[in-house]
Amino acid sequence: MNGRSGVITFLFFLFLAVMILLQVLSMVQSDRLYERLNRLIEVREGGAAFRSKAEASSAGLPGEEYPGDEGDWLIWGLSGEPENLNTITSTSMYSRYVLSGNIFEGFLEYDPDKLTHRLVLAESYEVSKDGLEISFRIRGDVHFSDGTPITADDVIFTFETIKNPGVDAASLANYYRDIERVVKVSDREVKFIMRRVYFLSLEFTGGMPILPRHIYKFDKPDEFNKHISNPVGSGPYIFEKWDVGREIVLRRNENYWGRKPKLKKIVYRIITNDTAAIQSLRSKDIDYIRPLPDQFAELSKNEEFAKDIRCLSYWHPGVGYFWIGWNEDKPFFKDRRVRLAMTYLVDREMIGKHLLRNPEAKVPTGPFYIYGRQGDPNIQPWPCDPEKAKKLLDEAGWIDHDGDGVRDKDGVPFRFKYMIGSGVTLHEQIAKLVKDEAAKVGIEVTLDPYEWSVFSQRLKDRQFDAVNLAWGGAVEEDPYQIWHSSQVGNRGSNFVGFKNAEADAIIEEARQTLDEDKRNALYHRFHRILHEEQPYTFIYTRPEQRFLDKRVENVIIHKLGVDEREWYVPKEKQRYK
Amino acid sequence: MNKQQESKVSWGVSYGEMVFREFVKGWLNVVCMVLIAFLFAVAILAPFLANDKPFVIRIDGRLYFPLFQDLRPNDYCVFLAAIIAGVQLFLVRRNRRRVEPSIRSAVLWRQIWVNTGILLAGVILLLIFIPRRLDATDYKAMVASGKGSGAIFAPVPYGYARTDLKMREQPPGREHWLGTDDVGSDVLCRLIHGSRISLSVGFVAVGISSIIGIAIGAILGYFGGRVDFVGMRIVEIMMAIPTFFLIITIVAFFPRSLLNIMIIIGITSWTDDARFIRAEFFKLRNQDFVQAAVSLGLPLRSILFRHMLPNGIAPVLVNASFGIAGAIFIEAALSFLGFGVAPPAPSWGQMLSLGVSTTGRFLWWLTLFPGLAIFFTVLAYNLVGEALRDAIDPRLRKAA
Amino acid sequence: MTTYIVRRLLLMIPTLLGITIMVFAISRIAPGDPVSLSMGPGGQLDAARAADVRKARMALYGLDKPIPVQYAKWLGRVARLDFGDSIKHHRPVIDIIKERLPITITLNLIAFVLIYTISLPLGVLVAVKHKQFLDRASSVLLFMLWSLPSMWVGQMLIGYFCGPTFKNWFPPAGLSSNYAEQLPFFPWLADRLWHLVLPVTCFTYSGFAYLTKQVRAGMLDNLRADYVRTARAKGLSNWVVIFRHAFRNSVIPVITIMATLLPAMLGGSVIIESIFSVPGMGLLAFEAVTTRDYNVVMAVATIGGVLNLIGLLLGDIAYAIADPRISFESSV
Repeated sequence: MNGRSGVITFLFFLFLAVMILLQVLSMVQSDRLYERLNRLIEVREGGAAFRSKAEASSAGLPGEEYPGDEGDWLIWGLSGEPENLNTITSTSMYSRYVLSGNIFEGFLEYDPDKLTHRLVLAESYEVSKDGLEISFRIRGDVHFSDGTPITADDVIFTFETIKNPGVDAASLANYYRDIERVVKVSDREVKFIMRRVYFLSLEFTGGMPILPRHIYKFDKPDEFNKHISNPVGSGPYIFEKWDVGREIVLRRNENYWGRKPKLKKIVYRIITNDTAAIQSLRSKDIDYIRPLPDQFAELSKNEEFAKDIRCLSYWHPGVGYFWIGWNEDKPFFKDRRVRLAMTYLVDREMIGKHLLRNPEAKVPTGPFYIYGRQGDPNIQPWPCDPEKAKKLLDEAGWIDHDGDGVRDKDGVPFRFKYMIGSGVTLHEQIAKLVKDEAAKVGIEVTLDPYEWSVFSQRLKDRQFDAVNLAWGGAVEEDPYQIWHSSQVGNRGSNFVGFKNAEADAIIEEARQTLDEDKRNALYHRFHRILHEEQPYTFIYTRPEQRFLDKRVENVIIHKLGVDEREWYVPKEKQRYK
Repeated sequence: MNKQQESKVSWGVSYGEMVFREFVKGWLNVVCMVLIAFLFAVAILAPFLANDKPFVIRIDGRLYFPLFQDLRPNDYCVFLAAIIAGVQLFLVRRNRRRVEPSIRSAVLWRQIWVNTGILLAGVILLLIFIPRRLDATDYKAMVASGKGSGAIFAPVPYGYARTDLKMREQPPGREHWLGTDDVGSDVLCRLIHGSRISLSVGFVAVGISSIIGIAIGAILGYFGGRVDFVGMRIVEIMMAIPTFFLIITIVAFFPRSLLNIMIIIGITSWTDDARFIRAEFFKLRNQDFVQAAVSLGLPLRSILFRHMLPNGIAPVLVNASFGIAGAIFIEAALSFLGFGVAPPAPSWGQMLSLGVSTTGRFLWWLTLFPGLAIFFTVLAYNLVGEALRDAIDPRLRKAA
Repeated sequence: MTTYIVRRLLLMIPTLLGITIMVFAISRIAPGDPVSLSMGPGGQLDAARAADVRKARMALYGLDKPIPVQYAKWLGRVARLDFGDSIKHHRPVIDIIKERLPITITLNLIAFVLIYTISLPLGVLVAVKHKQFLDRASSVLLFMLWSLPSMWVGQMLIGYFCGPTFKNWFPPAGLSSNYAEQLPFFPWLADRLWHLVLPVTCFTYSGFAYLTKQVRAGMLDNLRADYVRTARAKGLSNWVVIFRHAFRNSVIPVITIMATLLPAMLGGSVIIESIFSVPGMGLLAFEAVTTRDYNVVMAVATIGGVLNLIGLLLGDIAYAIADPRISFESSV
C-alpha cells in the first residue's frame, strides 16, 4: 500500500524529467539535421592562388563599387519554405528568392532601368542573322565561389543536366526545348543551336544559371535530384547553412569576381504565420517581408509603424494579374456576350479600393504588364455596368422563361459552379462578391472550394465552370502556353479553352519575329482580341509591396523593381556583426 | 381527469417517466432544455428572423410577399420536421395518460417509425416539387427610392450571403448590431442562419452514428464468438485511426456539402455506441426474457430491436447528447480550418476563423459572438447529457 | 497472463494491417496527388510536355503502379522500418517525425502534468465536500471549461494577449523567438516556456472536467464502502482515511486511463497547432493529408495505430493488475 503513493510521486518526477529532456532533444535534432545536410559536400574557400578582386570591371557592369558602408545582415521573412535549393529541380518561388542573383548567375541579366540585356558572366554574345545560333564568350576572370574558373564545360554540363530526362527538371527543360544542342567552340566559348527561331531564346540561354560541373557531376540522375542543398555557384553570396523549417543563411562571397555587395549576410527566416511575420518585423527580429494587401494598407498608414519601417510599393513587370476564367466548353460561357456580361457585373474598382485597400491597384485589360510595351495602352477596361450586363444576357438568349428568378436558355438554367482553392481568403472574398452580384441579375453561382492538390488537378482536367487564379508576369511574355488553341486539354495551360484562329496566327508569327517593334505591334492586336472576347475577366493587378527596415539605405526603385545587392546599412545603424 | 388519476395510481411510473422526473429535478437541466428549445426555435424560424426580403411590400399598388415566395425547399423541410416533432411530443404526453406502461414503449416505437416515415416521404416530396427561387432584388433600395412602400422587414433585415464591401469589418453599431465580417455580411444574420447548420449537423451526424453503432454493437453482442472476434477487430481499426485525420481525408473525396459533412462525421464516430451496445447485449443475452424470446422462435430482428434494445439503450442516449455537442465541435473545427461547408454558408466555425486579422488586429466581434453561440449550444447539450446520465444511473441516485 | 498478452500482441498484427489498408485506400482513392500539387497550376508547360512531365514524375515516385502493388511495396519497406521519403520535403519521413514528435509530446506532457496535479486533489476535495457549494460550483465551472471550443479560446487568447489591440504579453506564434538558438540553455528554456504558455493553456483547460469527475465518482464510491467505515470506527483521523485508504483505491482507474493517453499524446491537436503555428505532429498529419504526401500520411497512421493499440493493451493490463477482481478471460 505504501509503495503506491511513492510510485505516483516517482512517476510525476519522471514525467517532468522526460519533458525537459524532450525539449533539449528537439533543439538538438534540428541541429543534427543541418549538420547532415552540410556533411554532403564541404565548401572550400578560394585558396591562396586567387587574389580577391578589389576592382570589378566588365563591359556591362559599371566599374565602381556599390556605395555605402560594409557590414550588417539583411533578414528576410519568407512566408514559405523552398522545398529544395537545387536551382534546376526546384519549382517553388521561394527558392528563386534565395538562389537567383545571389548564388547563381547566367550569361546575361536585365538592366534594371533600361530593361535591355546586359552582360554578367559573358564577355560578349552574338546572335546569328537567321536567329538560329547564339554564341556566348565567357569572361576570363569569372570563377565559382571556390575559385574554379567557369568554362564551357560547365555550361554544357548545365544544359545537358536540364535536358536529362532522369533529372527532375521537366518544367525548366520546357523552356529549352527549342534548343537542339550546345556546342563547345573553345574553352571559353559556347554556341547554342536552335531548332526554330524564337524571340525568347536569347533570354533563356542568357539566363540559364551556370552550375559548377566539378561539384554537381553525377553518374546517375537520381544523385543530382537528391542534391537538394548546399548550392554552389558563381554569385556574390555563398550558401552557409539551411536550418530546415527555420532559416537559410547566405554569406557574402569574399572572392566574388564582380562587384561585391555591402551586406555581409542574407538570412531567410521562415515564418509561415502572417501575423507572426508582422510581429517579428516590429520587434526587429527580421527586416524584410512581403506583406498581405490588408497588412500593407493598414500598417503603412500607422505612424508608429512607418517611423521604423519603409513601406515600399512599386510596379515591375513581374507583378502579374488576378483573373476569373470562364470555361468556354460549358453552355453558359460559349457566347462572348455572356462573358462580357460577367465582366460588366464585377465591380473591379471596388475590389481594389475596399478589398485590397490599395488605391494604386489597377484594372488590367489584358495579360501583359500594364506598363510594358507588349500591351496596347489605349485599351480601356470595361466599366462596371449591371444594366448593360442584363441587356447582353437578354441578347444572348438567357432569359428567365419559367419565372423562378434564374435565367435559362434551351432548358438549361444559368446555375454554375465557381471553383476556388480553399484557404486563400482573397479568392473566397472575390468569389462571394461575384456570387452576390450575379444573383442580382438572375444567375445562381455556387462556390466550389477544393484543396490545392485537387484544385490543380481539376484545373488541368478542365473540370470547372469558372475558376479564379493569378498569373505572374515577365519582362517579355510569350502568350503561347496560355492562349494558343493547341494548349487546350492534355493538361495544358489553356484552361478556359480559348480557341481563336486569328489569335493563334498572331502568336505563332510573333514567336518568330525578332524585331521588337514588329512583335509588339502584333501583340497589340492580340491584346485587342482578348479584350473583345473576354475569355478571362481580368480582375486586378497591383504593385509589389514590401516592408523594409528603415536602417537599410540605397533602396532604389528601378523599372525592374528593387535590387537587394546594392543595399547597405550605415555604420552607426548596423545591428549584426 | 378521473381516468388520468386512475392511471397514475394503477399503472405506476414507467422507466422513461422515472428518468424524466429525475431529470427535471435539477433547475439547471430545465434551463438547458429551455435554451435548447430556444435554439431550435431560432433555427426553425431563421428565415423569418433574418432576411433581406420584406414580409410584405406594396409596389405599384399591388401587394407582394417576397419573403414567403423565396422560402426554399430546405425551409419547408425544416417546418415539416418541426411539426412532426411537435406531434410526436404531443403523442408522448398522450401515451402517458392513455396507454399502459407495459406496451407503452412498443407503441412509442411504432409512433416514431410512422412519424419518421412521414417525415422522410414529406422531405423527398418537398425537395422534388418545391421550386428553388432566386431573388436578389434590393428591396431596401426600392423603399428608399419610393418605388415600394409599406414594407415590413424581418427584425434583422440582411441576407447572409449579401456582401457590402464598403461596410467591411465594421464593429457592432446601429446598422449592424453585431458588426460585419470580411465581405460586409451582417454577423447577427449569419449567426442566426448558422444555428441551422450547427443543430442539423448535430442531429444528423449523431443519428447516423447511433444507427450504425447500434446495429453493429447488437450483432456483435448477441452473437459473440467468432462474429464478435472479427467484428471487434474492425471496431478496433476504426478506433485506432485518428478521427480528425480520417475526416479530412474523406472530405477531400466528396464535394463540400452540409449533408456530406454530416454523413462523414456520422460514419467516423460510431465506435463508442457500438461498444456500449455490445457490452449491454452481452449482459442481456443471458437474461431470461431473451432466452424466452429465442425459444419461442421469434425472428432475430424482433429479439434484437424489440426486446433487447429498449433495455440497453440508456447509455446510447446519454452518449447521443454528448455526441451532438461533439459533432457541433467537429463541424466548427472543420469550418475553422477551411474544410467545412462551402462559403458563403454561415457556419459559426468559419466566422471564428476570421476573428484575428492578419495584422494582429483583434476583430473581437467576429470571435466573441460565434464563440459564445458555439459555447452555449455545446454547454447545453453537455449538461443535458450529464443530467441524463445521472438520472439513468441508479448508483448515483442511491448515493444521493 | 503471458498467454493473454501474447494473444493480444498477435491480434494487433491483423488489426494494424487493417488500419494501414484502410488509410492507404482512402488516401489513394481521394482525388489529387502530390505531383499535381508540386507542378502547381502551371503556365510554364505546354500541353504536350505537361502530360509527359506528370507521367515522368509519377513514375519517379512510384505512383504510376496499380494501388495494390504500391501497397505491397510500402508494406515491404515498412517491414524493414523504412517509411520512405516525404515527397514534399525530400527527406526521410522518420527524420521529420523525429523533429516534430518531441514538440507534441512536450505540450501533452505539460498539459498532462497540470491536469493531474489539479484534478486529483480537486476530485478528492469535492468528493469530501459532496453536494456542498464547492462541489456544485466546481462541477458547473469545469463543465463550462469542457464546453469551450478550443479554437475560440485560442483565438481569444491570441487576440487579447498577443496583439497591438489589447495586451502584448505573449508571442502569437512559434515555439522560440528568432534569436533563441544563440542563447545559452536557461534563457533559451525560459524563452521556450514563454512561447508555450498559451498553447498549453488551450490544451489543458478542457481536461480537468473529465478527470475530476472520475476521481470524484471513485472517491464517492469508496467513501461509502464498509472498509472506510471500519477505518473511521477504528478512530483514524479523517485525512488518513481519505488519503491512505479511499484515495488509493479510487485512483486505480485513473492510473489505467494514463495508459490510454499514450496515443493521444502523439496525435497532437491540429487546431491548436495551426492557431499557434506550433510545428507538431497534428500539423504534420494535416499538412500531409492536404498535400497528399502519402508516405507521411501512412507513417503517421501506422505509428499512431501501433501506439493506440499498445495503449489499449497497456490499459487493460494495468487495470487487471491494479484490480484483482478483474480476470483476464472476460476481455477480448
